[in-house]
Amino acid sequence: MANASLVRWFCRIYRGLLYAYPRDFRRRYGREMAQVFGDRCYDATQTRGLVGLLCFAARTTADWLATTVREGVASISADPQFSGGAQPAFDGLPTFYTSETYSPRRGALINGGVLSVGIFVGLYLVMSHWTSHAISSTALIGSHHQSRSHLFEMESPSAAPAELNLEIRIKPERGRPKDVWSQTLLLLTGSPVPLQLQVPRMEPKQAAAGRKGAQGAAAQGSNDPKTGMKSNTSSEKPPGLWARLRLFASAIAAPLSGHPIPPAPAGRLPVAAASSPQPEQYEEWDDPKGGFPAMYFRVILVLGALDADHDGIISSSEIANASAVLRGLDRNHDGKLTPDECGQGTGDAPVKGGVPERARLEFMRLHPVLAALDADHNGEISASEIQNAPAALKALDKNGDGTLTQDEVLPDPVAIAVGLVMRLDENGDGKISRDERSGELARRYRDLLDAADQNKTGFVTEQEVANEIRRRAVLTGILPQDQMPKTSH
Amino acid sequence: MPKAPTPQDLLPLTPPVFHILLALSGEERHGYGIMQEVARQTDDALDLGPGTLYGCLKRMLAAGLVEESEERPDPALDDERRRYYRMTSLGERVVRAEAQRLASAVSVARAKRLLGPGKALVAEGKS
Repeated sequence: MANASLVRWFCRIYRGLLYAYPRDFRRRYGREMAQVFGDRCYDATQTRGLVGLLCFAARTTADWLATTVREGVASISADPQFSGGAQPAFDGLPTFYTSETYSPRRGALINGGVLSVGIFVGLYLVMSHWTSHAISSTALIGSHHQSRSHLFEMESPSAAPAELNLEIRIKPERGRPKDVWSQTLLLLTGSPVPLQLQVPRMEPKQAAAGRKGAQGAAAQGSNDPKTGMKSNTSSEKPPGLWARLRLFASAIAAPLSGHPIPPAPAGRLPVAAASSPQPEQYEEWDDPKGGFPAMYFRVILVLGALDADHDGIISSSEIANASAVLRGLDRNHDGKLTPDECGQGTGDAPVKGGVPERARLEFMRLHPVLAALDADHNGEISASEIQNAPAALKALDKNGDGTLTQDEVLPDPVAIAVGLVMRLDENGDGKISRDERSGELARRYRDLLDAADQNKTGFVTEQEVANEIRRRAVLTGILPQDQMPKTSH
Repeated sequence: MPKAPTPQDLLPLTPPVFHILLALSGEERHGYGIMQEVARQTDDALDLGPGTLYGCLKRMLAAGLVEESEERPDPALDDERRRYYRMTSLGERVVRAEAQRLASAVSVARAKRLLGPGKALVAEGKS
């Protein structure tokens, strides 16, 4: 009979499973348990056939799982004579024995160790499988909801019930963007992908040069009668990586407030590209491996000039030759480099009324290379500072290898994000007022500004913006925990 | 010297322990017999697995609620390797106290009209 054979197999398996119980328990009850299991198997087979046998086996497996853990825990707890439980003392107060004289049996330790390893491996496999799915790109790390059952009454503090409906989710480490561009966007918008970008229409020659990345950007759109640009709308294809990188790099070089992610003017490429339009350079820069750093080197003209061989590294010979290269950027031959000559306004529309002085100072302060060269921080690189350029650049060489790598010259995403947001401060009073927050561009940062305005005064100071962005940077892992601002939420 | 536990100290009992004591009330049984009796008492609502049964018996033996019978069954009638368990006097007092506690709870439920007449309800439950 097939079922009888199956019962015998089940009994053999169960006798093996009994070894998961503590040795004392198994020796005392193992034979009886195996006997009872066999009896129940035959019973189940007689009354309900194969289905009954399988159901019983499933229930017994669950019973085995629960009771092995319970008996294992019980076996490592202290015996009554060694109990750490409270004993009444002469004065009525409980006394507690320590477990110094007691140590678990070796078998119990082995059982516990095997069980722990099994649980850890199982959890690891489950979590690694779970986090590999895009749908589970966030992990729930905390939650509070009001009880729906109301079975348990709790003393509720003064917090409003609505405020208690809170879930905290954190993105897994591997999802954290690592380049300045994505980090800045993440800090500003909560997403490493731009919400919506305006992308300029390119002239055929330029479009051919940058076609790989800007295919989406150069798609159909309505011409803006004022700027002559095509702007992409939500119904159009999103801009390609190249176009997005170019816009962002242009944004951080933008001279004026009010354009966090400004469009480049139609028919005009960034100055650096226009001044050196060799197709092979475009192809080189268009390499996706170059990414944002390649674009940054192109927009910050000083960096592009210093990196003569376009390998993304300022070598020791290039550092030594810095003074001569910088003098070559002095277009008006006044012996010094202005922010414009360093790359400010690269890719942007002409500025009506000129560039505000604070924007010029901000530009020279945000970019590490320019800040190092402009030693007196007056917003210009003077002749003496040009002369001293090699020494100033060597000060950026943090690892002392004689060269400047990208991580040593790329800007701080937190500073960039603060600078972009503070461009909403049109009157330059150091605050973003209600009026300045009402514009369309400001609405992109509404969440950030609302969170930054901790004292609910309606205006946001630069310090508040910096604190909020720094807080986001810590929460997203861009900055370490110890850099959390003290005035944060 | 630690004082011997009173029945009240051991209450409330878990359902498996309570039903094992009920199964051993007035009769010695071996493990399989206890399982069958518990299933009968509860209309198969409580199905004890071997691990649960013998884990409970171990703790009940330690607490003095049950004891192992020295007598072995007649080999002609049953497997002589089986061990029989019987309830101790402490076990009997404990199961009485637990039954009384549950009866009090049932009385309260009846007073609050949460429970109808016993027979009618049982019949309703079976239907």
